[in-house]
Amino acid sequence: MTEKMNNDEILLSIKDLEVNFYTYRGIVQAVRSVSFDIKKGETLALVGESGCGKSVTAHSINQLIPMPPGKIDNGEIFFEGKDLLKLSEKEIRAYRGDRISMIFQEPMTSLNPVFQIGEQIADVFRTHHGLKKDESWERAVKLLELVKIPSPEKQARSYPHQLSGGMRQRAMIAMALASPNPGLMIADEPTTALDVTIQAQILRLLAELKTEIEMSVLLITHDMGVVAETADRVVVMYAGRKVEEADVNDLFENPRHPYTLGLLNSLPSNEKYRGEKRLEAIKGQVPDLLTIKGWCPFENRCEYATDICRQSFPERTELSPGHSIWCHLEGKYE
Amino acid sequence: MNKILEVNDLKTHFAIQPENMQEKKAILKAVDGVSFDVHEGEILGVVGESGCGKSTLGRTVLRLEEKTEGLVKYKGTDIYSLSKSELKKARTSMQMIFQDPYSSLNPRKKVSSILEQPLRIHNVCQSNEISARIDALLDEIGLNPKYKGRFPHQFSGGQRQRIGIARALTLNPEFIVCDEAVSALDVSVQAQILNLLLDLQERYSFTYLFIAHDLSVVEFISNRIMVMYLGRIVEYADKSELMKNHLHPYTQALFSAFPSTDPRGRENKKQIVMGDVPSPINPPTGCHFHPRCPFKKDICMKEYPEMKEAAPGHFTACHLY
Amino acid sequence: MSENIMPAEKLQETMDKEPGRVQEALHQLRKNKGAIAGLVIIILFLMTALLAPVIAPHDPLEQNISLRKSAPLTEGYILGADDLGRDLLSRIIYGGRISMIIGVVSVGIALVFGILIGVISGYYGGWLDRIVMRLIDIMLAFPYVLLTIVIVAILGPSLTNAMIAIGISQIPQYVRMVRASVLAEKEADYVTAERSLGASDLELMFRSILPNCLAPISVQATLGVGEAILSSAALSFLGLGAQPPTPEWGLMIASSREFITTAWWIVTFPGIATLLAVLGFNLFGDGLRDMLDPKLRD
Repeated sequence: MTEKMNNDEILLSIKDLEVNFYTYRGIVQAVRSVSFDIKKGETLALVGESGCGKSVTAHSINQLIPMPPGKIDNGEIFFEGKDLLKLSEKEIRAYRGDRISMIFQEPMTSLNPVFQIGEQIADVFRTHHGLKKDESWERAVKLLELVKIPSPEKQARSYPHQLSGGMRQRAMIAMALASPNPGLMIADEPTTALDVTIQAQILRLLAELKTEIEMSVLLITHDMGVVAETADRVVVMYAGRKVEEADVNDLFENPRHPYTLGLLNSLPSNEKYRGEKRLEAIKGQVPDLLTIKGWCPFENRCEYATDICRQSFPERTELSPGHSIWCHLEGKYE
Repeated sequence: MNKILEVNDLKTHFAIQPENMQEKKAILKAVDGVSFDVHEGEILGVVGESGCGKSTLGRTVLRLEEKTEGLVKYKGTDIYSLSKSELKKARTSMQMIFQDPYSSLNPRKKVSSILEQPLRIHNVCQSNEISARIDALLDEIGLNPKYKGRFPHQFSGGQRQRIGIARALTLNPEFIVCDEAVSALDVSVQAQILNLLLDLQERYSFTYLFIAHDLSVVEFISNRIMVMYLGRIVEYADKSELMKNHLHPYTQALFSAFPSTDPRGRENKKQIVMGDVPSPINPPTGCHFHPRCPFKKDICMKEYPEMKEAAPGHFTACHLY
Repeated sequence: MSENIMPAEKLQETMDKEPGRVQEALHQLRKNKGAIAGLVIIILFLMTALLAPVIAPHDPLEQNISLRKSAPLTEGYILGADDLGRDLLSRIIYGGRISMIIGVVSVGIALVFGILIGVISGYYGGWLDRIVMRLIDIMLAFPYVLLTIVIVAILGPSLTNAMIAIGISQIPQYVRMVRASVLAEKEADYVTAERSLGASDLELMFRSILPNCLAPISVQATLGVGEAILSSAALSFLGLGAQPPTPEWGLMIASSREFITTAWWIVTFPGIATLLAVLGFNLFGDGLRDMLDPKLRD
């Protein structure tokens, strides 16, 4: 494979990822032939509805999918040139929480309820970087300040349940940043559990942090609004496959895959519904991943589908540099 | 316009068990002095963040939660003065659609028996007609009647929500409270359900009290919108008026925080309200929003503002007006 | 990729035939070796209990003085004979029948009252619930065996009274379990929905909520049968349960314990039978718990 782009710039590169879940009901084809790159300092959004494989893709990076029943059956995941899938459990653990960190939808489940948050952050410095106790505590407080937790010295001594949802998410972000050299932050639905006013605060914080620290973000979300507010580039997934990849402005102004178009049309906030009485909904429902057929998985819901859509999985069509779709119609439909 | 529901100074308070013996019993004022009317045939949207009391409000007006104080009149009758059997009768015309399509259907009952129960209790039709009625209901909400022998877990989220809607329709209601009815659904399914709710409203001239935290959904479906914050209504007006004109600083904050789907718009930095939503157990004195309000004055810390008509048909409770 | 291709009609079929709860339960069972072993023991035990008159080679009460204490494998007496010359195998088979009845009846008593009290207490809550729970606490403060003995002492020693006593002393555990499940279930939206559709308290308690609480109860009931068999053996051993010449396992052990050095089989085989039966119910009960726990599923 020849690389067109400068390899120095690329932080993470996923190639042809295939993940299956082996259940007694059959093989769940969670992720199929997914490839994408994340550049240094870039925010890439993986967007799609539940069951589209966005979380499984992201969790494959630091191998946090439950195995078994999950299994990465094919693909390579290069982080700074090293294939993470070839590393041992011990080696991958050195990456987790250091160069590759995660924040989750519900921070309460990933913060330890019996330790003060300052202590938990300091612990990362101690275990990964061998800092002394005082120094790591100092660094923890500094991080809490960075994520704009008011009176960080005092709050470092509080326990997770004493903080509000928004503050807990900030603490979680601080913990994800606890590294002298943060590389990639995987944010899995980071604001889904939060109220809109708090969501706006957290999204702004993430945007500001990115300019302060050179950090790449892989954002996983179902919310097109969050994508529009934060992402640089977007990968839209459907039924375990990529359907469209584009620059964020391109995607919202010129969506070319029928699914992306349908998704944007389904949004009640879409400007074109001012005064309209009905939404343009996509008919039908997401297919069962156990029974994916040998052709385009969106075919049964697509209003433009023709016979060629039922013959094979669509190949990539590059519409313009950086804007690709995986659709037999190649963007030619009205 | 006929008022189908009148709510006057409604309060719903809950006693919270203290965590240890020394603490006093705390009172959670989920709904704290709310007055509004619902007109026949309209869709009244209620929007607010978690803990603002919107769900409790929806349950209290149906008497699924007991009120603490105030008046709820449905078609001129105080529903809190009704006896158990009168209430059972009155409830046939007031129904509710729930948020969680997983917990709102009994996992041990087949779809047919979920829909049959209300028909049987209220003797809506002869027992030999029940099966045909269930088929008609399922057809109405867009589910193939041949699946009526299945259990809820065999359906997808959207299909379950349709079953929940069918159940609410069994008794031919007039007034339906939709409590976050589409919040748990994926966008593409959410659009289908919103369309279905609108179709049904058109066909049967239902009145909806549509409760949601998602501003875009409320904005799309409602005729009128009420904004709630910490147990009280802070602003209400017709949709077209409210969309043009956000008077209350909280409404302004809510609208500006809502993510837009225009990525180019994010460059012009909008104003974001800071701070957290305070606990409804111990709300701030005076106007509950004052600790987060960028325009606060001295009076805001002392007195809760009265509801005023700041523009024609546009009401807000704020000292600025 | 070719194996992924499935004709459209076939796809529709698989969607129409989603696995039901029964198939899923069977799948879970197949993975659990212990549960299968337990189930096999229980089925064997049930079959012998049901077919006792057919299987048993002799009348369990028939004495043959000439064969007193004869060792296993002597002329048609596979497990030997006891101190009165009765066929040990036949007595154990009939004893199984009695143990089965004891298990089912006493667990039945405990279930009926436990569910009734637990559902009402959990559903209504308030002062009623507080009084019930304090009474249950008092019952639980007695050691289980002591409580059973006290009840039998009041009612008088007999097999029927032993069953009643075991049933009563098992009630508290069911009340607690049912109440806890009801407390959790009654907050679910489906209960509110059915209430808003006019369902009465009785309908809500027993037709809506109770079926959703049955999973933990069925585990407890399975383990309870084993426990009841053991308790009845203990009571009979103490002379408070079955009376001679009933072929009850506990009684058989008690009346032959003096021969343990001279004719070990008389005391050993009823003991093994008790052990196997209790083990069967415990294994299956534990397996059932794993099967019903969603956290342990794949």
